[in-house]
Amino acid sequence: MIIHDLLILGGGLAGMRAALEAGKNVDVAVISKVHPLRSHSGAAQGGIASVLDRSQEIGDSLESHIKDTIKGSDYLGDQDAIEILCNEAPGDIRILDRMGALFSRTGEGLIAQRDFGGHSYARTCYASDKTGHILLQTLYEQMMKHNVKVYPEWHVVSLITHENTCRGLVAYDMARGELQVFRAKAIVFATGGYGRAYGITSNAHANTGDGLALAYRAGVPLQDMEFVQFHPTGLYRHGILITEGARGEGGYLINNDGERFMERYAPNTMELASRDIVSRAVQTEIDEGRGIDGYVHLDLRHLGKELIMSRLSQIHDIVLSFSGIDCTRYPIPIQPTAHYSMGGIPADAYGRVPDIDGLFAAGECACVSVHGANRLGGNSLLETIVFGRRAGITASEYVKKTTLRPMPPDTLPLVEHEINLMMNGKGKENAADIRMQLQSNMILKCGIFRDIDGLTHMQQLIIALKERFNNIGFRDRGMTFNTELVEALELKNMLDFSETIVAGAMAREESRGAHARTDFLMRDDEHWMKHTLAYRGEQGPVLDYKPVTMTRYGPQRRMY
Amino acid sequence: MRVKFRISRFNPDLDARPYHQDLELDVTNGMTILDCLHEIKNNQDGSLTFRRSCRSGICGSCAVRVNHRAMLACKTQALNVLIDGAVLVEPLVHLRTIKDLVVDMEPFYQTIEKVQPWLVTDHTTEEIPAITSKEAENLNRVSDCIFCGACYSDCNVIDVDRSFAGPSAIAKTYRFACDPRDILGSERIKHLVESGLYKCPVDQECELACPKGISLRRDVIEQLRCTAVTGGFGPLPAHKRLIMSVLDTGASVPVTTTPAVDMYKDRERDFHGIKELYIREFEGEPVTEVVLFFGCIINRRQQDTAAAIINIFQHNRVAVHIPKKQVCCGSPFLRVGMLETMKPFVTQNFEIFNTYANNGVTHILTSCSGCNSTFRHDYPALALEYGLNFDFRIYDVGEYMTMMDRDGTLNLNDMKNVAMKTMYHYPCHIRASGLDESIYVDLIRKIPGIGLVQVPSSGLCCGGGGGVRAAYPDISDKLAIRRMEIARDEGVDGLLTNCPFCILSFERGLWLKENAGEAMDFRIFDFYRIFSRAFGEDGMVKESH
Repeated sequence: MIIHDLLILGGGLAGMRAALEAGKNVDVAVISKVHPLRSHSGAAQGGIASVLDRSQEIGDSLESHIKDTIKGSDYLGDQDAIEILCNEAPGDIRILDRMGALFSRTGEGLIAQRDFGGHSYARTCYASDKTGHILLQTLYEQMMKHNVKVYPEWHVVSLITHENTCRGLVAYDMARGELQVFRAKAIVFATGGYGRAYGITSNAHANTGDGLALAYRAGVPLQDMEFVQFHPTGLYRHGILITEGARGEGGYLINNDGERFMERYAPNTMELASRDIVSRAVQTEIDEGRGIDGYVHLDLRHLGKELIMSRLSQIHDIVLSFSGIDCTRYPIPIQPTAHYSMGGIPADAYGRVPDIDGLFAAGECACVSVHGANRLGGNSLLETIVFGRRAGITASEYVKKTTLRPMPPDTLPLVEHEINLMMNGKGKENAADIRMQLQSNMILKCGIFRDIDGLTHMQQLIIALKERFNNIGFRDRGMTFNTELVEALELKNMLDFSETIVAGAMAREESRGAHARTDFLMRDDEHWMKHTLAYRGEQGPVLDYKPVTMTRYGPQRRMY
Repeated sequence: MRVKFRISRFNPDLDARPYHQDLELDVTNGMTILDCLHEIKNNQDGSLTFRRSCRSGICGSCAVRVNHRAMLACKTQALNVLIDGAVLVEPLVHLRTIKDLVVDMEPFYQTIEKVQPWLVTDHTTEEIPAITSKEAENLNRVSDCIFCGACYSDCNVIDVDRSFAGPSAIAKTYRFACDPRDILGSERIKHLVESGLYKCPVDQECELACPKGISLRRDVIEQLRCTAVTGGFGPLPAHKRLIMSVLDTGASVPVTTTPAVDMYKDRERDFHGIKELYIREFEGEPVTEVVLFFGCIINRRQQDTAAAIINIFQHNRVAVHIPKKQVCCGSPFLRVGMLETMKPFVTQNFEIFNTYANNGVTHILTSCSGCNSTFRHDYPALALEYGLNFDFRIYDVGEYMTMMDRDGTLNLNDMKNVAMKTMYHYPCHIRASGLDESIYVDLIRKIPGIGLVQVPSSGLCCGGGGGVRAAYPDISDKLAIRRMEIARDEGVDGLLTNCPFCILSFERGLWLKENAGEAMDFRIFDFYRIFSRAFGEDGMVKESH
């Protein structure tokens, strides 16, 4: 039994930012299934959006950032939260700078900013093309400086709640091969996104949405799960991200006819239109036969070797290592890739999760909702920092006025029993095959374009896959670093929350942001300008809805 | 194609010790080692255990050893690393194996934590000072480190001295010590000198392992040594003694026996104001004329090697100019961070090379790999600072032989049989010059009778470079002996190499073992002397004894 005032699940940017903030006041520990330095935040490339003094000189304003984000969200974002996101951004960038984050600089030594899709001004701060990596390093440095307790490679198996209050959790200490009970007054979820439900994704293997499934099973609804952002430029077949910065620096998208096809979809902003629009354009070109063997080209050659090597060096390395292509000499084959999870655990602007007292959420796993139906580039790193900090503050204040509640009896034996049943069953089903079936079909039936037939098929398939999952076989029955067990637990999580993606998508009879229904082409503000809430029911998800918070901007047609 | 995978397995719940499991897998073009491991785990053996996350080379989870070398499984194309259709996958070393390919990274993380890896600023000011674009870029290069531990696994010094900070921790120190906003600067350098900045023999194994291509030797370690010198923390006392000797004598070792350049009195002459030896002992026109720069060690300690090189060139009708004044290249200064003492060495060597180049002898050859790397990589930038354009064609003698071979002017017919079983030791300075191991291996293979055993683990160090021999003789000796023992275990008679420092290190190792009553029955062969022997040693100039 381990006791802390506050537990943070996840050691990425949101989790570490929350831990650093809360650690000033209360006893806090971070639990993460990978070492914090391995977190997927580190893979974020392009940048972090914030209006700074410098961008104001070119006409930018906080109001413009707010407006762009609302428009980008296709009017599904909660405008009060978006105002907080944009207004607090400059202060948070300054804090990161003071911590030592190595932002790229202008000639005068100011933080440099670049263009990003959907933003009206060049307001995205960056560190070359490895912004996430640099921020992850910086926050981990601060974690070491402030001696924040971390449990690395502990996989959370079960969230323990009782009478709608948080009690703690059970986690699997992989290296020691043990299950341990943690008691805590409060828990902050910062477990990242759910891109791994899809077969082509920019997300890490670890991004299996574990936190969402834990909360969902404990009775928390999942919000807006049907909104999954596809990034237009994933490396063909691998899905590995080619940063939007590549287009921000001036890269072209070219189809098989040699045409810059964005001309036909977004003539004003071209390649830098909002991600959902560019992704649909790329997929349409491919689907209508103007692709090249299932992909289109991202052409950087005209930017020149020097610029590519200095500002997009990581991209050069990735394309060379994984596709064997030198992007200074040849165009890059790309296809859309599942990239970002707009949906997640509902949280207010203070990180508080409704329905269960003592739960908080921040970062990609949370749905605040600042991204609504579609996230703008540069806003996700920003969300982790702003709302990570805010959740850390709120959770520590909560902890200070709360006493540790008792853990329900037999918590550990129950979890142990469940795991034993799974590992030592006589089933012969191959978990990897079930996972593959889920991922490849989610892309086809619940990907960029959706319709009722595909979604219905997917709904039934998940039910069948869940049935098969109950009979999976294990080769590894030891407890030390059992990755077969971890992968099975992750698959169980993915099967659970994927049902909510499909259910939300089936019900939402409109097209908005990243959710594109070929059988309902238009946005329908009258009926659907509302958030989906999927509760766990006996027969699968039960849907409910809540209104979008609007402050000053009514819905308008989105044009780029 | 069908590929044989030999994978290191260890389950602490079941096995007493690690063992190798052989598996087969169909591998298609584009599959990485990580893809293969997944394929095996998904469809053959679910118990196979390894770390992975991003699969795009940024999270640093999946570092393993492939054919003995550390690398990221996700960034390694499987078909590129096959040896006879097979590949060996093992966990990193220098860290305890938890299970299969998973190691306990904690000791490695601790090396990082020890360097206080966070920015320390003066908190009396509200805003911290800005940093210029150039300064940020400089720090950014080193900040590419993803702490995958590959360098820690392949580091030769860590293997013999766990108190060494290791490449990653040194890079992290650089990140802050060289940040103009950090107020600990010199304290960090002082601490780093104590934790082993001068223990690195600049063998660059870490650079080969680094998946992010960080130039650890030149951009990090040697830069930090310069900073240490500026701050008064370096070089170490032992280096200062060596350096005084170079400044006194103009060479890195004092004269104890007749230097090679003084052995051929009858060939001395004046060449446009330069006193030189001119050796052309064959009939007819020379194929080419070259300048030969021996380097201090060969000139003053390995005169037989000097004679062998002369023989090789006479046998192949190359006329050789040897300037009598062989000024130290200055490498000992550079390697310990004393940049400001370089000027006399650079200018004197520039004068000599320039005279030859201006008078039609444009090919400048060095027989010392250390000098070669210094001339090629350090001189151009330094010379520019002194207002000189150092733009000569510098070749390593072995490299030049290969070029002659390709031109058909190296006479490899009727070479004599040289019966021995040996392993080539690839000197780090040769690699630093950008010369591939295969240049030398292919040449050696042309000598009849030689049995060459090459194991993939050739990234082993003689311990002789980077000023380590002077300051940390213990580390140096351990490395030399370890290198020889590993070769001996492969059943060879001895190591064959072409770096005078490697030869010195190994010979000292043999001597130490003999004195300890553990004589090794192992020999060190000089590349040039073996060739000279194969060419019959019947040139006009004999080896001198």
